[in-house]
Amino acid sequence: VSRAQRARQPRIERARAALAWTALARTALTCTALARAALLGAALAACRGAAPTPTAAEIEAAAVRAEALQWDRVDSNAGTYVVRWRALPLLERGRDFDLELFVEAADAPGVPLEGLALAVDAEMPEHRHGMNVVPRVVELGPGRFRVEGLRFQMSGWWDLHVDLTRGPWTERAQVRIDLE
Amino acid sequence: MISALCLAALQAVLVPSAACGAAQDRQACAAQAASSPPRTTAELLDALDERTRARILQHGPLGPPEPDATNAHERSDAAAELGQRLFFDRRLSLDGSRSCASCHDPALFFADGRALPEHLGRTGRHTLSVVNAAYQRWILWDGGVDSLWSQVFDPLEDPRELGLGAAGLARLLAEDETLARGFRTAFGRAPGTAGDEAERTAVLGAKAIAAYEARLVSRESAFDRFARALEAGDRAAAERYPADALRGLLLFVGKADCRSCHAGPLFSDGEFHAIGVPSPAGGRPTDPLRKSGLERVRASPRNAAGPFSDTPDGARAQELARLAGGAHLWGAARTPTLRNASRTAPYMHLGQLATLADVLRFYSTLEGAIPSGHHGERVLTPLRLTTPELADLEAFLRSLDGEPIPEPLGRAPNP
Repeated sequence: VSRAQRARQPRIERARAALAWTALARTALTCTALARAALLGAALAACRGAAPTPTAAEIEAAAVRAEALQWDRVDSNAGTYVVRWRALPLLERGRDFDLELFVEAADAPGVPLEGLALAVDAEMPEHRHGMNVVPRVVELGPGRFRVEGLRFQMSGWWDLHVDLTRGPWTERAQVRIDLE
Repeated sequence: MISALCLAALQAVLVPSAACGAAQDRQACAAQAASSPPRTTAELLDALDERTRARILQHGPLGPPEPDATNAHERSDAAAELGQRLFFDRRLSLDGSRSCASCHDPALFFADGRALPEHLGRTGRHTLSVVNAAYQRWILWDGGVDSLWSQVFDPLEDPRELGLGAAGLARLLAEDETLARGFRTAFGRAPGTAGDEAERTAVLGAKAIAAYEARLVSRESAFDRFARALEAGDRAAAERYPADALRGLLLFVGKADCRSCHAGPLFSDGEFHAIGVPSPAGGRPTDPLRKSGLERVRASPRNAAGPFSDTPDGARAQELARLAGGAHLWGAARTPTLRNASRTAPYMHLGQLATLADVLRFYSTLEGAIPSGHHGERVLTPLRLTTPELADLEAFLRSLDGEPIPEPLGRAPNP
């Protein structure tokens, strides 16, 4: 055995020992993961067994949300809310229309938003006037609203304001609409 | 806007101009545009883009007016004949000297041709033509009434105008044999004068007048023929539209943006705007116009939601409940239709502008305009139109003159 080989011997032993420890750790981790999976599986199985069938209201709410996800989206100015909206039957100059709105918290999509109040108004910033009518807000469910009886009397640049109030805080979502 | 005009001039003469190309010298550019040969209808049609075409077709052709659901008798021929008889009957005035036709003269396109009317007393607003009034959602300059039939009561009850009153009209309908017969034919009942029956009789008389007025419709202008040709892709028919009118139309839907208020086939958004036209007396506006008109129409027992409406729960009634009031409506007048405007001078709610050229000049310069308040509406900016542009816009406005009202509708029917 040369001097060089003797010098390397302790390092090889250290490496062997390290490898042994790594294998042991891996085994332990695998066991833990397996145990966790088993626990989760059991828990899920237990949950499935205990969960009631979704109610008609829940099924409808899910369908409404799925549809609303296809509408136009605007985020509130401070980013707290995601508003999805559509105009019915059509957004045309000089014609009454309704809005349907679906609001969620940006950090909790899919969770019904309780306790939200909504107000809608619109103005023409270049003309310094708004609509000549006051629309009516109807709450359809948590975060779901229909606003009835809007009318944009002129063509041009409109800003639609959706003010969202929860507790003491109000946040605005706004959409620019250029009406031909 | 400036560069668009210059480019039009450049395309016509095919001579580039440094000033116009850079759109830096507006006056030089305008001068060149003015001196260039104006483009023909064919050239303008060749250059028409899809957006402009769509904007033009928003204005026409004009179809028949929507029925007034608050007046179930509006389409009745018998009611219209009775209404026509009443319209020309001088007994509707207290002293027997005036009828509806005195201010709404068929020879003057159912207006009076004056700045302000002269009758039993002087009223404060310029007389509007009855022609095409059936298209409007809100009647009069202030929209103080919401139907043609309820408008009848304004002059009828105003001692400065006819002054006969609702009870007087009921009495006339009951006592005159021809009118009573016409009433029975139209409504299947006799006119009454006792108690509430007098009001009901007067309302039916007013609805008869409205049925007649709804027939005073003037459509099929040169512009409507052009719009129809454009819609159908009939190039030959479209080319018959005069070039100056088409140039004016392109300004109207383009850089002048008149379409913003004078919208749709009626060339009116049917809404109310304070545009600051100075009054002859000077000073601030003294007439509240829509500010009081809105309160008046809401409070009226003869509005679309009232007991005399034939659809008190209808769309018009619901609209009354949604109206937005406020101080900003002070001095806001209803956008007038531009159809047949050349026949109904003078203009504005005080008749303060004598000719179409005066109106266009006002919009071009806004000279003397009363400034809106700090928070007030500000719809207008000076258009700064050139002389040829003003002439083209006037030619366009004249192309909105529709067919004449048939002669039999311009006089009292035979007994």
